[in-house]
Amino acid sequence: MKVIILITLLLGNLYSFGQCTNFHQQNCDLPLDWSYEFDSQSMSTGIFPGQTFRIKAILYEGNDYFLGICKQADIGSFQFKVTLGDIEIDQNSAIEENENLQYFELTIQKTIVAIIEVRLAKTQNMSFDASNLKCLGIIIGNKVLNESY
Amino acid sequence: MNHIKQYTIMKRKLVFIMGIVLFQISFIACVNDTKKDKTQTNLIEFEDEAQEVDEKIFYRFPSPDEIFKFIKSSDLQYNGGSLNPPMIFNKYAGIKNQALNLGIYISDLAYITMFEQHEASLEYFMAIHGLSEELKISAAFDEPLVTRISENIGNADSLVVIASDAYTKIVDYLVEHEQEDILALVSAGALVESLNLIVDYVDSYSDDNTLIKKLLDQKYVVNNLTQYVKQNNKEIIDDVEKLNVLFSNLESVDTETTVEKTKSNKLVIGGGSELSISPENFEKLKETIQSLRAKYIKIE
Repeated sequence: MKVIILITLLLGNLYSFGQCTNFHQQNCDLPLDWSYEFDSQSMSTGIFPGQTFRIKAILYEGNDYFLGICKQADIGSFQFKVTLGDIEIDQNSAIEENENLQYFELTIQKTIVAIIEVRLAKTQNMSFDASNLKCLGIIIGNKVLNESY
Repeated sequence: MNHIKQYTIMKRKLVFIMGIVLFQISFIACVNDTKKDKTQTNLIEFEDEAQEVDEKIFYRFPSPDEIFKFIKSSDLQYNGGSLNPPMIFNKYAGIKNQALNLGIYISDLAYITMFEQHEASLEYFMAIHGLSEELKISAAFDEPLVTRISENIGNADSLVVIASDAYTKIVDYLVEHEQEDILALVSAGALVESLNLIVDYVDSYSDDNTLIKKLLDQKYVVNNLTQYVKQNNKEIIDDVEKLNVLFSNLESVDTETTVEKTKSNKLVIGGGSELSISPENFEKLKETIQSLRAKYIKIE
């Protein structure tokens, strides 16, 4: 009995930590005509309401990119934006595939740094325990255009 | 005698339970670290979040196969002599050397699969697996991956995907198991090898050499790696800083970034920075890359 309790406690904690790993690969309904390859810069994490998930990635010239966020259903309000050089693109320009996936499709003419960020809204009387941890994935897909070398 | 046995068993149980308790405490401590304000308002607030936001940036960098994608549309010839021989993988001792060379072999494998060198790819997969075992991270590879390699050895496209998957699995495993100090070494090894494979094609500088342009594009990758290494492993900070300084000193003509929306809602991002390098600085950069690579592959 003691062993069962201990195992349950251990597994519960491990689940809390590991539940968001590869969220973007396993839980996103991508568009049916998705024609990109998963870029290794894609990443998932767990964050609490009020926090921001931000990655700095490199987008190569001559490539098309899919930049999307994939989130669990109960994530609440959020802001999604991409900063490319001196411009910012916010979620108003994004395409909404379904309630869990929003994305941009980009053609990159010069290699550039992209800061992709998602900020969750605060919620009322929220405690920072594992049950309030929200899974979020930033999906980067790439596709080489017909580049002449 | 029985008493001693019972005592030993009791002692083991106690250590196990203490371990569980400490694990629980550390979990609670980690969660509490992020706790800033338990009582928050009803309103959805974004405008005053500056104090609340976790400002950590995750620095990401393309995998070697993403760096080498241009090879597919090039007329470059395979240059196997530039690679680190796979049969010496077990000569590398110590975490630092093993992790750096794991990165180097990952990069070599990406290069090999781009050139569809099927026979060589198996040896490099084995070297990667061997070093992963030495580093005790071979759990990143599941049995299906090994099976997939042997089943697809003649299929170039599949090998590219499997090689890319292997890299992603190692990265995910190291992040998940909080071994980003090792990931910093693997990433540095992989990047230095990728840069070395590119400069090996350039015998002499010319203004219009497309490979030099590909090399200069890695400025941003080197910068991200430098930030990542600073956060996670100071052992190699001098090496990556040396590279970062050279890349940061590139000449750059900057134009305003532009964005245009096409009819299909695609955004075309134009403008940005046009990078260039003088012949002298190119030679300096090439030398630095080659000497770092020579230092990393040296068997001590």
